[in-house]
Amino acid sequence: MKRRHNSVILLAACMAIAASAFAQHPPLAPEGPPPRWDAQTLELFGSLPVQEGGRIKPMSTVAAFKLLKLRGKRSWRGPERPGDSRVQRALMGVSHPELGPVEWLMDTLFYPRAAAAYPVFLVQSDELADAIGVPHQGKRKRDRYSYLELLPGRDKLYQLADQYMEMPERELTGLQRQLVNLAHNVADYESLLSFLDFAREEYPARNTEGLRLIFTEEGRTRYSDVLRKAPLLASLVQTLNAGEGGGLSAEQREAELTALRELLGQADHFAAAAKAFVLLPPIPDSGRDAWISPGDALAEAFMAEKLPEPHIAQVAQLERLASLCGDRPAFRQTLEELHGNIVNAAADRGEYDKVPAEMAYYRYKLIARSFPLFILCFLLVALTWLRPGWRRLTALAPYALMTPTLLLAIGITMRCIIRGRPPVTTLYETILFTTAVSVALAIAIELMNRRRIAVSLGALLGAAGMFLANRYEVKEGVDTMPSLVAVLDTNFWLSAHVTTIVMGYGAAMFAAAIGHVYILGKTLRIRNNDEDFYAGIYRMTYGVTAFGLLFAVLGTVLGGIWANESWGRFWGWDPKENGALMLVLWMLTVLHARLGNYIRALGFNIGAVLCGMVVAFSWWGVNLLGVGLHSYGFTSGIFRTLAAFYVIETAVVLLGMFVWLRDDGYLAPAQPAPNTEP
Amino acid sequence: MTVRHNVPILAAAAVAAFLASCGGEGPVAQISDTRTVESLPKPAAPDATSAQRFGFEQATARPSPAQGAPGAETVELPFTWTAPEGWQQAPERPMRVVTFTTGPNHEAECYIAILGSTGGSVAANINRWRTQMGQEPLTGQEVAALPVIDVLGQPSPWVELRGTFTNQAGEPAEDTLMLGLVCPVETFNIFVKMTGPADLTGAQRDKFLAFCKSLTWSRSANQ
Amino acid sequence: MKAVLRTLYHFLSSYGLSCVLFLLLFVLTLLGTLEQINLGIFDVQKKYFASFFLIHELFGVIPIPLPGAYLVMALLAVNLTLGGIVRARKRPAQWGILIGHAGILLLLAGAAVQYNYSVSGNLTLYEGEQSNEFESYYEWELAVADASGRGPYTEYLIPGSRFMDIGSGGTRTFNHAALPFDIVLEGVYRNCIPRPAGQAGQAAGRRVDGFTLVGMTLEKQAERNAAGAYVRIQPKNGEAIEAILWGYSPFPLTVELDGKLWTFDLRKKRFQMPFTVALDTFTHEMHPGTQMPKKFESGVRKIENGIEQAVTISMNAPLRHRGYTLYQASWGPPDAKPGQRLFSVFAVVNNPADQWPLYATIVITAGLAVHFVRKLVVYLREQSKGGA
Repeated sequence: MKRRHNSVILLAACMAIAASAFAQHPPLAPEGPPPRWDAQTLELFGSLPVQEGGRIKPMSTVAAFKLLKLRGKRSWRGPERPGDSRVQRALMGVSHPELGPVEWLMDTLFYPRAAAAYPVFLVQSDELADAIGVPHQGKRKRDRYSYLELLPGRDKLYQLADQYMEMPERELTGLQRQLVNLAHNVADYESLLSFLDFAREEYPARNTEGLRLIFTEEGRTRYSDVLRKAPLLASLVQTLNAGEGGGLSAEQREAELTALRELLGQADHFAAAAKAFVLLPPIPDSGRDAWISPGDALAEAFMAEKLPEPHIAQVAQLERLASLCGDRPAFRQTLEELHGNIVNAAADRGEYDKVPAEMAYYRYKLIARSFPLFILCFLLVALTWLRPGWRRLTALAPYALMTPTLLLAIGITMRCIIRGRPPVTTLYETILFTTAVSVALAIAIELMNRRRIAVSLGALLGAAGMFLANRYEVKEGVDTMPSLVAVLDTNFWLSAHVTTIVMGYGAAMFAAAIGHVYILGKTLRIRNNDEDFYAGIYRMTYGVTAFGLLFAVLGTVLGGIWANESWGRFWGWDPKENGALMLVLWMLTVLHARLGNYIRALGFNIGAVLCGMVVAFSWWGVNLLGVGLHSYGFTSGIFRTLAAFYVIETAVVLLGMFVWLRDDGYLAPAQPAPNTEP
Repeated sequence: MTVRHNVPILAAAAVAAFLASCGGEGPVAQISDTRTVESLPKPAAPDATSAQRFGFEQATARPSPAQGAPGAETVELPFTWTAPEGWQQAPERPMRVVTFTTGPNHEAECYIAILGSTGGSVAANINRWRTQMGQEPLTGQEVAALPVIDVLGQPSPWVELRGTFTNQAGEPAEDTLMLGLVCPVETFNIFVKMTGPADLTGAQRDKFLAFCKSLTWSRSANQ
Repeated sequence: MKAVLRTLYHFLSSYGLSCVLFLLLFVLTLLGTLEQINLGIFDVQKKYFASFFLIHELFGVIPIPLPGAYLVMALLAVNLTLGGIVRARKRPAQWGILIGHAGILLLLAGAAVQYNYSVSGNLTLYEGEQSNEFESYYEWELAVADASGRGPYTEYLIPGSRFMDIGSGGTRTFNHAALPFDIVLEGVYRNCIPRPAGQAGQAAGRRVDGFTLVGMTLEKQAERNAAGAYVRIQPKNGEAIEAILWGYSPFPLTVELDGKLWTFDLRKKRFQMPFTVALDTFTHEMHPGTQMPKKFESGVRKIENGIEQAVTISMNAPLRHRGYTLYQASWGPPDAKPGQRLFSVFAVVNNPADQWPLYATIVITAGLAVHFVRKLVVYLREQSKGGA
């Protein structure tokens, strides 16, 4: 609810800014794509520190998540550029697509007219295009549109989005949700397009005597000039306002005031549009401790006791950058100066340490790269099923699986280092860690019993987990390393409770996977006579479930103790707590039913599959309810995935029931009693 | 063996307990809990009307905020003051923290207002008052040379201006005296301004300054 | 009889009962979670988890009777004791399980103690204020006191559990030997608001002094409900006085009788602590550029018998003293301007079983770890003997 509230304000603000910006400047004729940026410039720009979401992060992270949110993909090579030789194009085919986001951002900031033609907006269906009156000939049903293509429908888009945001979120249809999302994206994009407008303008500072007395320098009057002359302008305003100032007639005074108002109004207008990036570090000893954006510098220049010289210098450098786009060497040089300026200030405050690490993390793309490796491992193991004679391969399999697992583990570790937090603090990270736990379990079991079942499942679960992580990241479209709210600000409990409970989830999921193997094997009568085979699977299911129970119980109780330390109550029947309890109870039921001989191998494995369904409810389902303390994220798009999962799992459970009925003879046609009569 | 004898008793006890927990109290009941306190959480208020008890009216005497009561909304001010003798508190006006009047016909008025940076700097406001009184604005240096008293821990300049007062509506009032003080705090300015007939207001000068000095931060240790 | 007892013993200690109880608790937890979409957590707790018996409407229509979680957990404790400890085998192989079961029993016992004997509420202090009392989140009480003269005062308390069930149409009279009047409650609302009689329209109850109480639907967040009641004060000799009491009045109902000033205060139940807490400073910090709270903490002084001690209470770092624990819960006002006085809200809990879950965790962990490690060792031994 609160996030929506802020979104409404943000959207309204963006719309107001964007509307006014474009009211003054109707979109000019589009230009073609600019020449490509060189690698060093991209590196410099990408490593600029920016404050967003309460922490300092590199510009490349900001760019990547913005692109992810707009386009659904983090990387994008963009159009062909003038000056791309054939060799260039061939090289780009093999080089780093991760330059995409920063490249895209720089194009958007410095060449807005060209960028407006880049197809960055993902529109999920052409019904959405129809709803806002945007023509879509030649487009696929689900395609990407450029800003210029969406422009005819812009007003309708905002109007409809306004209406839909008044309605409770539950009641929105999928199309309406997509529309609201698109409206946010368009508003966000417009703020990028107009971010450097302040630098591209000339400010009317020569129209009257008074202004000419202040702005004595030659050449264009820029935003930074207005900042620099702020004290003089302020005193001029007061003098004029206070009454007779130095022998001016009433008309002259009026004229001066009007000119001043126009100048300051324009500065204010463009300053309002220049708030998208908070990249100017605080000036030491100024008494202010907050990073500001170039737009905030205007208010600061007028209100501070001392003129904020460093900020004015940085703003001036930004202005020079905007004008030097055509002269790339000079651009790079100015960028180096600006970069050095800002980075030194940030480093002095100790806020730059983690930026290179974060850039490295995203550059190496360990998480994304582990996905194809998991698939590869799975194919490898599949090969060993087809060719059981290839002993070497079989022996290699668990070690092969270790490679992507190691990548995943390193990725998780790097995240810990960058954030200074234990491995699991957000829903995204639960996916990474659960997957890591499941796969690690699989490797351990494989090393113990070498049946190739565990390693196959491990590879499969690893691939599924990485896929899920990627989809989740795209869906949310926000930085996956956010700042934490106060109650989570305790590394001890985060390590203890969250890690433990997620290990419990991971084990339960793995047990469910093994249960699938048992049920499907029995259904299809694979190796039907090999009881040892199925006994081995059963032992795995049992062992992993027991392991999972240990961690689930521990994690649940630790969560309660943490809650007691924070809020004064051990257990509050909160949905997330209930979810964990349900998992514990279900595992207890299955294990005790086995002890009481109410179920045997098949029953236990069906129970394990049901464990997986309980985990899904506890992990994802409770977030959909929208109640309770643990409502982490707006996971409304998850509902369909979850529903599909439940349908499939129910089918598997029914298969298990079918096997039970079949193997216990309930399904065989009644045999006539053997004729004892001779 | 003992169980057999006790079963009927146990059963009866169970039924009795069940019934007891089911029913509520009878129509007449004894109060059984008491406690002794040094002071009542809500002191007796014999003059409080129903309207005041239900939040429809502010009481004239400001009560201590009842802990955690979300009903009546009272904005807590960061500072308190002591009204000089002979000054009466006037009804609330928008944009003003508090207003007092004095004089036989309430001709003189003194109020406190707080404005943020949009209200202009100290000098700007002093000069605005000077303009209202038909006088020339001061230069920065002259503003810096104004007499200063210590209000809320900040050196605050004040002015005494005599002339024809033209208020916001443009209506002139001849032979008026204006006493104005600006206290800059953080990014805000606190104004104390008194206007009235020259002789009457002039006699209140000391009370005006005492009133300004009586502003105290209300126990906010951050200050 | 012996046969009956034995059957009972076998039943109560059986795996079957365990499974059934686990399943019941599972179902209750699931239904209770889903129901929180409609009811607030307080009401769901009362209906599903703190009860002996309930009827759940499946899909809102089909009534299904179920035992409440309190009953299920009580039976589980019995089953655990008889089956999990008394009847279980005591061989070394089972030790881990036995220890684990003991830990769970401790957990259940802690839950029972907390449910029945703990007291919790909140304390709101502005900077510079102090208090030795806190008030309940949900429970009300009616306090009658002779306010003439200076303290100490004796308050006569009627806990809400004795009158909140009266309902808007019922009536109940309370008296005390030391009070020269009867207090007749003639209509009690769990959530209501007083309105000027002219404005209330059809929903109006009785009119008293130009006002009437208008009943409202219960809030999902139960602590927001505002109780109200019509009261008639009947002196032993003299005319009755009718009035409206409302839970969020800034002033108590004050009545003068025979030269004495009596106050009647309908308020959240108040509890006293054996020490006083004074809030000196409150600081809060947001993550820069956001509205996300990063840190907030209160600098307080704990005053007992004249001895003062400075303590910092913050998120995840409560103050524990004399069985009471004060947690940093929240603060306000939410839209405070710079320099405006802030208040800090503490959650106060007195739970005799406060640390039992911690002990239980240690015991359970030890038990399950022992069991699991043993099983693993046995399994590995078998593997190395038998070959993969």
